[in-house]
Amino acid sequence: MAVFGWLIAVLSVKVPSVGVQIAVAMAGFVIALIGVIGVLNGAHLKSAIWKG
Amino acid sequence: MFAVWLGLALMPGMAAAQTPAPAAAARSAAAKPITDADLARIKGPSTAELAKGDPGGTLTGTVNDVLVSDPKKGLTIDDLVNMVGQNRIAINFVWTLITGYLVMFMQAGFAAVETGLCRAKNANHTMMMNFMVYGFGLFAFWVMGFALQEGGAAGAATLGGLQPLNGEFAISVGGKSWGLFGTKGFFLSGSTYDVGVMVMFLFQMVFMDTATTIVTGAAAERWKFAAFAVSTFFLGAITYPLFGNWAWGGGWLSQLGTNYGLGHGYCDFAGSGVVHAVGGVTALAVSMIIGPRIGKYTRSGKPNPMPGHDITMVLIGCFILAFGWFGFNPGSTLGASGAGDLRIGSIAVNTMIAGALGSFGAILYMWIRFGKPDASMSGNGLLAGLVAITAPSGFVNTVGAAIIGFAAGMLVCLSVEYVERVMKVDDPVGAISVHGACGLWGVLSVGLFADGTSNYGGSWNGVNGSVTGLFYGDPRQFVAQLIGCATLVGIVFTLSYVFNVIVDVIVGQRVSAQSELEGLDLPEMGALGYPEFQLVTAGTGRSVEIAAD
Repeated sequence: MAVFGWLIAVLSVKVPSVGVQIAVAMAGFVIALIGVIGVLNGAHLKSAIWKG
Repeated sequence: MFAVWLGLALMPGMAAAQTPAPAAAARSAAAKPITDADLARIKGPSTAELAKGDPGGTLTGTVNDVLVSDPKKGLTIDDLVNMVGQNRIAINFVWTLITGYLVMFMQAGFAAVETGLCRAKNANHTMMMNFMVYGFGLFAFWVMGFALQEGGAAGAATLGGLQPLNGEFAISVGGKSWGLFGTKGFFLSGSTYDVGVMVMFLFQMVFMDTATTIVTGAAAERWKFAAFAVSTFFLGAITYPLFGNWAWGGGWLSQLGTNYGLGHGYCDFAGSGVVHAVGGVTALAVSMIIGPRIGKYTRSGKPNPMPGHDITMVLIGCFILAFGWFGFNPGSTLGASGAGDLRIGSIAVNTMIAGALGSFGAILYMWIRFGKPDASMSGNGLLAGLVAITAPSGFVNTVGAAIIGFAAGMLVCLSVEYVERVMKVDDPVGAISVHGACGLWGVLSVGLFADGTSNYGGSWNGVNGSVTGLFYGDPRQFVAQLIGCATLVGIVFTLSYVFNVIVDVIVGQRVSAQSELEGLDLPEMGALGYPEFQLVTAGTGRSVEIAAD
């Protein structure tokens, strides 16, 4: 998901309107962040040592 | 009284207003071409005059000191011009080397901050990670890191062109060339055995080392030393240099301006992204893999405070870092002479202001939220401001620097709470927040606050004109910065995460529970940091460590 977010941000270079370009690049950045601090970290928390 | 004040205030202005007259006269004189015959008439002080001594300094540094290539001909225009060129490059070499030495000394600051924020039973281990990161990182960078990062970076005019660094591996996508990594400079051998390349190596090496030392703080008190060594080598050899190439070595992020008209491409003056965010996201990856320290969280997930053992060491370390930052940011001009490099004064002041405002933002947040000005977070606020201003320092004015620094001071406090309480990632020193979160903020702030007044030789990343952010009229620069941030999180983090999982499988990242409880000094390093003291847990009076046999 993090890599997918990066891909979206990179694809923003093809968008003609600068306003939409900012929105797409920001969406890509946020998706990448969610992939790391939400999804991946969530998976780590499932087996956190303090739960044992 | 007011009249006196007004008079004093205006006097410098009046003096300044008078200066154009001699300048105009000089321009008029310069209109007449200088010939070798003119130079031959210039006489320096005689040997007899010099033998009397020069207490006023007026006889030292004259035409006598200009090197002459052919004594028979005497001083020529060629000699003069070559001397001017050599002096310019010499100034830039000395500037870059000295600022590089300042950055190298930041390792001492990091060592003090991280060790002070850890418990006494891990002092030797934490200090040793900070110490050896210098050697491991340097070795990796010399072997291959520098080549991957700067192998295609020829063209740095301030250091004489660096023409031996003329190899960049690039691919063609969408009909455009995208640089991926450099190919010249492995072991600094061959044509890269060059005076300018050596200066560049020293400067870039100490920057890389700063990134690697960020990780040691976040993973402190439970990281196996062997795993740390392997992980550091990979970061210094591959991960850091790759992003460094994309941003600084002529790689694809820096080409976003020339290839797609996104402002001046990804701009990161001194490394909020290249150095700090790379270190910060790698710190996050390693911390997630290793997991929190034993006792950090209750079974319900509530965090327990684990205060460091020496706040004086922490704050002294912060001051050392703030001092070193005057090398980090102003030094990133790679010169002090020509090509707009006199902006070093502005860059230094921006650095100073953002750091101070960062500590102010943090202390304000902590005072309002918890009722006390927290010392360690004040220190982290200072570092947060410095981290955030690192990327924009060469492109913004002092008001922008103040806003960026103050926001970073607030952001680091919010981020530390988020990482600890929501993400439940254990970061003993706050490195993920200071360097990761505030590094990303610094990258974005270039795209917002760059005021379009900088002029480093008329262009940046191959695009003519000054770097200008969204608030000053160029929204496309902000897009380039967003893509840079997405790359840091999406690619750099992923690369670091995958590699450190492999290290975890092969070497094992985490020490044993017994070692962790005992303290890592004896099991990992073989010696206690404080052998003459019996260490107790604050507030309990219970001994947590037994002195050596």
